[in-house]
Amino acid sequence: MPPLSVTSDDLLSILPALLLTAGALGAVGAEVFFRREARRAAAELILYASVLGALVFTLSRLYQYPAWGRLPGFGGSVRLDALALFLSLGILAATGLTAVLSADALRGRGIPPGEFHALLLLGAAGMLVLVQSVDLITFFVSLEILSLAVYVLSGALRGDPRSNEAAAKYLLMGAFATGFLLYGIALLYGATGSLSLYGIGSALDSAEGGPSPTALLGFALLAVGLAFKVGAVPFHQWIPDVYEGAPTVVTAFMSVAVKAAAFGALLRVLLTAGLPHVEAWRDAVWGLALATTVAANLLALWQRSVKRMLAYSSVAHTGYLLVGVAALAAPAAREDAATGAVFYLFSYTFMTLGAFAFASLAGRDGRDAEDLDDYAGLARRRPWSAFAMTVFLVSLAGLPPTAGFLGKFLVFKAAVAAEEYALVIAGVLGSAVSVYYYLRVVVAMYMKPAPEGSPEGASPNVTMVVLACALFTLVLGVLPGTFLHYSKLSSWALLR
Amino acid sequence: MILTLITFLPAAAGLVLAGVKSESKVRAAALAASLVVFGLAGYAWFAFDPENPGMQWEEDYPWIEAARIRYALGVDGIALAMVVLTAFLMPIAIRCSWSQPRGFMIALLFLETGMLGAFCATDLFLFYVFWEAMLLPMYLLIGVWGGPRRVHAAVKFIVYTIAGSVLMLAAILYCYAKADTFDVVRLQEVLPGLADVRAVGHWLFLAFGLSFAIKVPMFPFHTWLPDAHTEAPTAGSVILAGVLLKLGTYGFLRFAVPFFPDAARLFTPLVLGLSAVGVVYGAAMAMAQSDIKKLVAYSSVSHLGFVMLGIFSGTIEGAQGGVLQMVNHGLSTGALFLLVGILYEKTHRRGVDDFGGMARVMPAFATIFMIVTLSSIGLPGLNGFVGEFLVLFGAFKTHPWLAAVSATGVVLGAVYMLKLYRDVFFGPVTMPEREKAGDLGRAELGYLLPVVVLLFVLGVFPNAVLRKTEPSVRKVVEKLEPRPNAAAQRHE
Repeated sequence: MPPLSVTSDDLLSILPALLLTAGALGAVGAEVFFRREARRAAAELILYASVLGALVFTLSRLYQYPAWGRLPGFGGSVRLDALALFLSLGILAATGLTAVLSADALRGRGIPPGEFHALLLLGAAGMLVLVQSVDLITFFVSLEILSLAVYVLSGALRGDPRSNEAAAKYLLMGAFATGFLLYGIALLYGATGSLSLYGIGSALDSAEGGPSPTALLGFALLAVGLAFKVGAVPFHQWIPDVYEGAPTVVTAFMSVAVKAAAFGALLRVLLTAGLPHVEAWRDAVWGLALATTVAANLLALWQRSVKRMLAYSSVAHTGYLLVGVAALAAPAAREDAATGAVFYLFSYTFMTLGAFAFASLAGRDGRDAEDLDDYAGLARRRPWSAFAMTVFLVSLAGLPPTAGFLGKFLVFKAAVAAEEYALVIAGVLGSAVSVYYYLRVVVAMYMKPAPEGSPEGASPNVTMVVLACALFTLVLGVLPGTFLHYSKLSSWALLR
Repeated sequence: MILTLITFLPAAAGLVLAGVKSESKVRAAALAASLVVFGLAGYAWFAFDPENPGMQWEEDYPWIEAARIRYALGVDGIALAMVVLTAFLMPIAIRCSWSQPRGFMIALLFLETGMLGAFCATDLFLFYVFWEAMLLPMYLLIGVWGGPRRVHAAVKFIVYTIAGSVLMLAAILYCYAKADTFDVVRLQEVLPGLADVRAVGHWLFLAFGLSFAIKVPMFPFHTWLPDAHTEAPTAGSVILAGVLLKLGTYGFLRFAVPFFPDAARLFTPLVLGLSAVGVVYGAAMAMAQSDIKKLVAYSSVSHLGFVMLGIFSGTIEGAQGGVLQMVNHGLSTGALFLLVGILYEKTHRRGVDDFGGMARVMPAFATIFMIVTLSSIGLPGLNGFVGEFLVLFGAFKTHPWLAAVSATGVVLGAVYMLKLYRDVFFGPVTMPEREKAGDLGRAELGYLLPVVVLLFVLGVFPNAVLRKTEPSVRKVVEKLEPRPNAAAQRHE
């Protein structure tokens, strides 16, 4: 055990998370120390400053990545490598865009901006640490920080029973999942005597006669906990209710940032601690991937509410990602699979965030748009935003020339190389089914007349977010060079 | 560079025009852009070297290097014929939609880029991107600007097509995993020799073939077509019949057959059988229609059956006839949809029974309709004759019985088209208020006459097309010829 002293390198390795935490404290402080009129401005200033600072640090770090190398910190508990940096980039982008969105969504709903922003930043800080943690304690603590923040955020609309319900459901289910996770960690520690992912990996590797049943059980429980967080079938039940009940901005944040962080953690656990015993998890991941792609796409077909449909779509995308994770099991396809999955996660951020942002734009009479009918005739009222939404839906459905297509293509390509043909066929057929439910929204926007009712004025903030996300979705689909390079670096960080 | 220009000029114009408010400027600019594309395609056509069976005007740049995907374009005779056909029909489609809003024009321009790109792409990934990217504009054309049941038709169109193409995506990935390249020319050389690919060749052929068969459409995958055609606006129908369906037959020629020749030979009887059924079934269904547009739509099923029959006949005559028929059908059926569109615009009717004696009311219209009708049923001297003749000639050599069955399609075609002509144009004038409908205007003549001229030109000089397509068609036919020594080759 090294002596507990904190060096500047340690601090540097978690600098983005520190910036966000400072921002969170600042935002709460603003609520206390500023006059009522100045609170909003102060809280927003602090929010943007901290996110921007973290973003600049992450980008510069990533830009010079090979030169700077990976940065371990805190005696090997965290490691700021390419995977952590690249996923952090996505998480920070999602946080920033959510912050821009929240400015309008919060107005007039009795949510104190300081409180909301503080929770947002704390959640994001937890995610940043989660994707860089290589030690199960850090892993667990950061996962809990992000979860607690998001539980509260999903109940942010205190007067709305559905928001309350969402928070309660999420908390109960999440606590349950945490129990599994913690138990798994304890068993793994008991079996291997180590909390470091690398330590566990080498202990399992050197174990005589393969891993012990205790270790395997620990692994399984850990996987169940993570499957809850990423929403793999059959651990997805909380997703539709929570996504539907939570304020749309929170749903947007949750669906992309939490997923990116949890998947990042999953990749790290499987590829560092779990790599010596691929056969222990291959079948389980295979089953989860198959069940998730098939069930989620079929369930999404029946949804009338667009938010619920997007919730099931989020589950379906977990399924496609899991196809990539299953491909990790084959050594020949490992690098491609990791690259594809990371690229998928990154590009998924923009299309889903954009779609939820548009859902908050399509609202009428002071509430968020939910039913398909709320989208009727939107193409006439907001041609550019509606086009952007079409881009998101097309991308989610996996049609070219968008990020969603390329992501799916890379993941399935790796899966074919891994000879997981059944998963690929389930995946492509699932995508074909998904075209139907995604395009229902396009039908409503472009081919149905607008109903009576007072449409909300287009908020410039939301429109900006929507258009920015659409731009990213297209750029990632057509000119993915840089981002694919970072994805590749991420896969090397995991595998080499 | 010329292929990139041809392919992306329409989309670039569409992007720019999205920011222009004035409807009339958008229309004029869209027409101008499509005419420039036609000019470039025309230049490519005349500068094309007919002796060279390989790709010409090739361009090849790295695109997504991490996955070894390249931006590679190139055309052989078959692709170039399709490019010229597309570039020829597009200005006409734009001109015939002069009353449509700007979104319509922009969708048409993006559609053109998608189609041209799919014909020009020599990288399999790039092809797939264009293949799918063209669906959305077409979907919007049908769904937003179509007839009363447009939503149903649009959704059916896109769901059918995508359901077919996702399996092709899986097959593409498999080919890449085994051959380690997306280069189409390279794949044509390598894939037939790979043991891994041969072992599951029939599955791969079916995966590619299904997606193309839906596009063609081959019986029994044709059910989306009548709906889509009937509900689509005129320009949409013209492009759908003229170009989009050809992508299916083109796909067989370029990918399915050369990639998996063993499987193609194995499935030849099935494909030929379905084609013959399609020829007769399409014609029979066309006879039963009371809606003129639907009648023309079913006639497409019949005509495309001929194309498939020719391609899979395994003879150079048949395949050349099939390719010629691809062009002919694009022109004749495109023209028929234009005429039906004009009739509908003037009278707001489309039922066969709604009309009578129109020859007296609209003499110029009736004349052009007659010429197009005769071309469609294959009167010698007009374009349809040569293609049909070659197809049947080729098919008789290898599959006389199927050719005989299909030949009845020619007869039935004459029956339903001439019956349609008689009912609409001869007899007493019904609906006297329609007499004020008026004959063809200058604008309509302006876009119909080029087509009519081409019908005659191709009828008299079919070699203009055949000469340029022959080397590339021959390469495909060689793959389909029964090879008794195939087993011996396998052991090499």
